[in-house]
Order: sequence, then C-alpha cells, then structure tokens
Amino acid sequence: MKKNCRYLFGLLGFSLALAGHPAWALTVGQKLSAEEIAQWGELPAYDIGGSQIRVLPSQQPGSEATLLLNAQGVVGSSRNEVSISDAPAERVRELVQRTLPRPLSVQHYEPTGITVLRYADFGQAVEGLNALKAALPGAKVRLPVQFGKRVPY
Amino acid sequence: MNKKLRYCLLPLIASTLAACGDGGGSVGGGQPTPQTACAETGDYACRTGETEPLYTFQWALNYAASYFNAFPETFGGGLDLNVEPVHRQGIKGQGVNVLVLDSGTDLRNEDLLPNADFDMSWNFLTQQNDPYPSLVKPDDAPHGTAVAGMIAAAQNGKGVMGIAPQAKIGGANFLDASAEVFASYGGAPWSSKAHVFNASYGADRSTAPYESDVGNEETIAGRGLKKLRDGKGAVFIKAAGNSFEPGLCGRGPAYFDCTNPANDVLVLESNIITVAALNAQGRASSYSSAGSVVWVTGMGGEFGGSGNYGEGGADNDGPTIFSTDLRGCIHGYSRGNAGTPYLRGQTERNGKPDNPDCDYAYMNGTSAATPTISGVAALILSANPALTWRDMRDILRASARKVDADYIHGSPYGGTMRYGALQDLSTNQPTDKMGSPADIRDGAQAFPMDLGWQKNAAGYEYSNWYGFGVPDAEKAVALALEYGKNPKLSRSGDVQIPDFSDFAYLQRDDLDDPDPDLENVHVRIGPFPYQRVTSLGTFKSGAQTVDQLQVRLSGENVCLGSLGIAAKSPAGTVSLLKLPNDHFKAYGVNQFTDYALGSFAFYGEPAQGDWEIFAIASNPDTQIEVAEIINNVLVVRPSDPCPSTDGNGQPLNFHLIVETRLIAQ
Repeated sequence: MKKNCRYLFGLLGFSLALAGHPAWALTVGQKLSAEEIAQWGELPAYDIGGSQIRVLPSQQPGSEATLLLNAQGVVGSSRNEVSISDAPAERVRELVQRTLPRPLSVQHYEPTGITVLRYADFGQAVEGLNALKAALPGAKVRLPVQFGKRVPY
Repeated sequence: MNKKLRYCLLPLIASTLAACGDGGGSVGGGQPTPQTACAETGDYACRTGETEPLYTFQWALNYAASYFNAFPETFGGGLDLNVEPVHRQGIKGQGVNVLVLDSGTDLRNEDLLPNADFDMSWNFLTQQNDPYPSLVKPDDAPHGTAVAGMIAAAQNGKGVMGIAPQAKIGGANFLDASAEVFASYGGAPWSSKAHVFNASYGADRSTAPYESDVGNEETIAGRGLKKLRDGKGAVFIKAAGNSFEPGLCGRGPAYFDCTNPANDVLVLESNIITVAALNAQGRASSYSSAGSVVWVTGMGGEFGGSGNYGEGGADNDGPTIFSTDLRGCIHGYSRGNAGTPYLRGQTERNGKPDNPDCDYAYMNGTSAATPTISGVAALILSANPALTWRDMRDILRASARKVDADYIHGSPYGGTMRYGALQDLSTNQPTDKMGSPADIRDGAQAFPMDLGWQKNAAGYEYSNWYGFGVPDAEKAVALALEYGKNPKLSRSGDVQIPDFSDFAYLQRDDLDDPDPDLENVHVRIGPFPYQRVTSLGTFKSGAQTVDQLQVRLSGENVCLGSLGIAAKSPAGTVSLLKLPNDHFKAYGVNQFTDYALGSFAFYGEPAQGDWEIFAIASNPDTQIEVAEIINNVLVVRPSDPCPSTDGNGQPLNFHLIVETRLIAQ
C-alpha cells in the first residue's frame, strides 16, 4: 500500500543521519560508502561479463546466499546459482556430468524450460558460468544476482 | 414453435435481454452495449455488482453510480473500466486462473474462498499451499489479499465484487522468498496453472545490469512465461511504481517521476504489461510512476486518508480502491486503530454496519491499479481463451482511452510550474516556458520535463504518464471475440530480440590507439557534455515494425543522476526514456554497467530509417536536499556529490558506452 509521504513529512521530525552499517545489518540494495567497504580490507573480486563484483564475508553461518558488492558499493545477493534457458534440459544434464565444477544440484523447471544449477560457493558458480557459456553458445546462461529488494507498490 | 407460444415468451425474452444488455457503460467511454443473450446461469446471471453491499464504493467498476459522487471536491471528471456491459453478457472470468504473487493472500476470506484455488497457491514459509501471509510486517501483510479481491472477489451478496468475479484465484508469498523467481514465474506445478500473473511489486532503485552475464534473474524468468498456456504465453501484469513524489529528487513539488520504472528490468521485457494508476478525478494518481515503459493505466485512486470512506479532500486526497482484507479486526488494513471509520469497522448505512468484522478494506498505489487490469485481462481471456500474450497486449492497447488530455499544462500540488515546462540544464530548475519535442535538439540548454500525449506514426497516442491509456473492458472483450471469429488477427510468434549494438562512445581524452571495435561507433572526445542536450548520433534500422526501442548505458565517472536519454524515430516521434535529476543524483551514482532503458512510444511505427539518440545532461555540481524514509524514520540530507571536475577544476576523465537495439514485432 502506498503511504502518503506528504503526511509523514509533516509529522516526523527531520532528524538522524545515515548511521554506520554493522556487518550483520547488511541488506540487499543497501549502498555502502568507501569507508564502510574499506573495513573489510581486500575482498575477493570477479569480473563477470564486464561487471566488477566483490564477495563479502559470510554474514550468517549456514546461509545459502552469498552477499556481494557491485562497483557502486551496492549490496547484492546470490544463491550461487547459474540459470540456463534456450537449451534442452537433457543437453544441460549431459553437459553438467562432464563439466567442472560440478553443481550441488540441478533443477529443471519444465513448464518454462529453465534449468538452474546450484554450486557450493560463488567462486564455483562463476567458474560454472564461464564453462557453460562456452559449451552452450546458443543458450542464455546467467548468474543471477539481486541488487534490489522487491517491495509491494 | 406456434404463434401463441412465441407471444407468451416475448415478455420473458424482453426481460432477459434487459437484464443482460443494458447500455450502461462508463462515464466518458463506450458505446451502448448491443443486446446479447446471457451466457451465465444462477442467481447472479448477467447481473452487475449491484448485488454486492459495498459495490457503491467500487468506482472503478461503476463510476456513475458511485457513493463518492456526493463529494465533488475529490470525485468527478473520472471514469471507470466499463466492465458492467461485460458482466451483463455473463462474462465474468470463467475458466481463467489468476495468480497473485505478493505478500501472501487470505484465501479464506468469505469473498475469496468461493474462487480460491489452493492448487495454484504456495506458501514459501510453511511449504504448504495456504498462502496466508506472514504477519511480521503488518503494513505489508494485507497487501496481497487486497490485490486478490480487486481481481476475483466473488459475486455472492457479500462485500465487494472483483472485476472477474468467477475467475479462479491463487496466491503466493513471493515477497517473502524473492529468490524463488523461477518457481514463482510459472516454473513450479502450482504457478504453471496460472493464465494471468499479477505483480503489484517491484524494485526500482538500482541500476541492475540488463542482458548481462551477471544480473537479474527476472529477465530469463520473464521470457520463460511465454512458454506457458501451451505456448500462447501467460499474461503478466506489473505495477509501474509509486515514485512520482518529492523526496529522493528534492523536497519541492515533484514535476516528474523520481525513479524510472525501467530500473526494474523485468518491465523491459515486451511480454510484461506495465500499469500506471489513475485517480477518481480522471488524472494520474499523484504517486504513479511515469516512464516510457508504461503500457496502460488502471485505477489506483489517491490515499483515502480522511472522511468516513476515504472521500475526504484534505491535502488533495481522494478515494482509493475497495477490496477484501485479512479477516478480523486485529490484522489487516481494517483494524481497530486504522485511520478512517470504515477501516475501523465503524461505519453503517441504512442501519447496517458496512464492515463489522473488518474483512474488507481499501488500498491505493499502482499496486491497486495493476489488479484492476489483471481483472480486465481475465475477462478478455474468458471471452477468448485462445489469445496469445501478444494479442492481450494489443487488445488492451486498442481498447484504451486517452485520459487527462492536457495534463502537461497542469501543475503538481503545491507547485507553480507546469509538468510540460522546460527545465534549465544549468540551474536544474523548471522554468515557466512550455517545452515540446522540438526542444530535444543538439545544443539545447533546457529540456521538456514531459511531452504529453503524442500520436506516433502508427497512429497510436502514447504518454509516459498513461502509456496508451485506460482500457475499456467492453471494447476489449468485443475485440477478443472478434479475434475468435477471425484467428488471422492473432499473433502467435515471438517478438524479435536482437543483441545490443555499440552505438556511441564518449571520453575526455584522445584514444591512445585506433580501436577496431569503435569503427562503426559515434566517438566523442572531450569533457562530458553536461548542461546541454547533445545528439549522440544516428543509427539505421531495417524494414521492420517497432515493438520497443532499448538503450543500454555503461559508464565510469559519469553522473547518472544528471544524465537523461531521449530518442527520435525515423518518423519524427520523440520519446524521453530517462530524465536527468532523478534519484540517482541523491546517491551520486557515477559508475554503472549495462543499465538499460526502454520505450514503447514508437510501437507499431516502421523502423526503417535513421534513429537519433540524445543525451540530456544537467548540472551535476548542484546539490539537492534529499528526504528518504529509513526504518520508518524520515532522514533529510544533502545529495551525495558527483563532481564534474577534479580538485584542480579540470573536467574529470570518464567513459560512456551507449548501446541500442530495436525489438521488432
């Protein structure tokens, strides 16, 4: 539901500055300053199709998601997955058997013809992306990352 | 049949036809309905929502007879979706499955349960098929229940009536499991049942890479929707957003949308129908996001912040869209501490309480406008289930009515300039001079903030605020039936989506070496051309028909919040794809990769000829005061700097890559 911000502007005081972000409070879509990012020191970095992506230290042990930073310092989230469309599922399955690294799981969404491979970590997902792109030139092979949080309108 | 019997039947036939084929229709829309036989049986056969006790508040279904007519300060000059002639034909969404991807849905509400399909539903938190929402976020929890009721609340003598009151409705709490895109967008057995998806949500704040190795999964998932319905494609209706408001673009009155709907890359897919919102006065809802990816407009209302039923006129407000709510007075929009008597369950008419159990509420937003169009889509598919996703898009467009014809001469609440005025590119302030497409030219130092309604070379009128306008359900269903009689009208093939092509390259310093990749690219060397409109060059297209133009940008040390993009087609139609001084200025964004924009303003035009692309660059060195709500607290701060010069006053080095592609029909 859309809130009338005109009311909020009238009711609430103009206060607070953006506070520092402790590591455990990171959320998708949040933009971090250079100073905040510097607290982590050097981060593992990847160039994925021209996008510079850095991997943040794990925030929650056991989490399936990897938190990332794009070049603008915006926090994103990956499930260490590679998605493939425009390729027959059997061809993808066969390819996965002889391509390294091996994914932890393969899920094929039959009605929409999309296959999703889940890897052990982000680095393996990047390796998997590169290997599958090379092996499936006609397919759409992507490494999905969410940089914005969907909200109700 | 003997003569005597024929005479006896005449009164019965006459009364049946009267019930089914009344002229009715919307204010400002539609011809009288031809009298046709009723295709429906039962107590409510071919009857409109007049059978439902709260129908008088549902101005999107019957504007002329609405309760709100008694409040001219906030109601008048508007229109409805002209659904009553369709309902009188007995077309009410039968056979159509609509899936609400949202916060979850209380499918056991008395007005939803008759149409609920739990096999088309999923709860990602419980892993069960009852999508009742999580109550952790009380303001979001009822959202999906309100959306569902607008589409398919039953006609049962209770509460409200959905636009497609016999459509089957399912729900999923997708917003609690945003990573589950592939399952939710038709990949799972439950979601693959859906014929129409309603997406009253979005993410329009970031520069998500588009068609990139790394990026938003919705691009692939969105295209997968075309395989559903045995290859005819599911219909996906998506909200444009609610960012036409002061805040991230400064605290003054809003003259243009602060965040571009195209920032949510899903809407760049041609099979996604993006919906803006109209209020009860026939104008854009004050918050409704505008942009060249909007396809049509539905009914969203204003805020309903005062009066008994949200009719109060304080602060330029007005009524919203009535619907179902989470059951009971503890949770939901209707609850004991809500803002109006109706939402507190305290109103009554004719001695009867309207909402005694708080099972009904009202809601605004493009979130509300979207299900009004999903409901119309369900009526259209009910009339002709053979339609493809492309047919649906064409029918909605062809049935749409131009509204608010002169809006660019209006002004925002509290503002003195006009929406279509020129904005000075050095001061970043609107002026008192009106603009026009002719102001988009190389060397101009001001640009029009909006171009209003423009007729393109295909004869279609388009506006960044309204898309092609407000669909007329009666006309749309008539078109659907016409497609049924003449299947040659239907378009089953996909649109043609080529790869992006390099178009222009800009940087400050001379190129070190000749770059073969730039041979066919417009290269511009020198300081970034801020504070002016710059033609970036032209590209040629072949003999095709336009579906959508897309432009993709990658840059470093370029102030994205000070950069707008416009395009001119070979036929001379101009479209504003992105305005400068948008919310990216608030964050000082100066680095972006594969950030994409789209425009449907050229839809149906011949593509052949020269297309010209313009940069509209404002002054990045001015600061604005930004207001944003963080954790329910209003934060006011200066915009983050994005300087155009270095510490010595020299223009910064930079690079900007511009790519284009034409998606053809």
